[in-house]
Amino acid sequence: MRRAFTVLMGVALGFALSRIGFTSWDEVRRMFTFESPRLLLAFALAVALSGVGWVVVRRVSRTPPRWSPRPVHRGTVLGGLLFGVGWALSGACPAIALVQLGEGHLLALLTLAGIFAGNWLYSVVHERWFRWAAASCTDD
Amino acid sequence: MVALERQFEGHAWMIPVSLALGGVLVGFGTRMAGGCTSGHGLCGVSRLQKGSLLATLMFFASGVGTALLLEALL
Repeated sequence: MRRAFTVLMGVALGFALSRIGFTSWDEVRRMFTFESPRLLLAFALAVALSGVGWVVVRRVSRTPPRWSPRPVHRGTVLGGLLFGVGWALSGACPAIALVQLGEGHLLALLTLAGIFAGNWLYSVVHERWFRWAAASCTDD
Repeated sequence: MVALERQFEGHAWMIPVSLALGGVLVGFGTRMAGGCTSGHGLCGVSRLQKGSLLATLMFFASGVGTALLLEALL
């Protein structure tokens, strides 16, 4: 049941991202050059709705999800900056690249290959040079 | 992705390079920052996590910078 719900949410997200235009390299470019506020507004709305949903779920659920302030870890600033450059160059973030593939844009395979390579490269670099604990999206 | 061809008009070879290199930076940056636009931007910010807010600001700052640079150069 849980799995079916997750799949459904995934499909809904992919559909929404595709429909709004997050998968379009040009739309992303227009967001970054301030030519068009569409994607930024959509993003802001999504964040706002997510925030509201979070509060509601916490109030209503019998097993509310925990929240604790997470420490700002060391790689945040540089990692974020590198990510942004990559985002502008490829027009995609990890989820978007997958949706692009779903749309039939085979070029997205290049982006995905890059993402996997970058991920692997980070493991190597982190092992050799970074002394901090690598965080992940699933940390709690 | 039609505008991709327009942006790199006359330098079509740059398209696969841009996508692949961009991908590498996205993969690397995501691991280093501990999240991407979904993890930090959507989940983290909506839960008012300071690190996510910082990460998201960084995403957009360099995204804007890079896009404007591309506009100026090409």
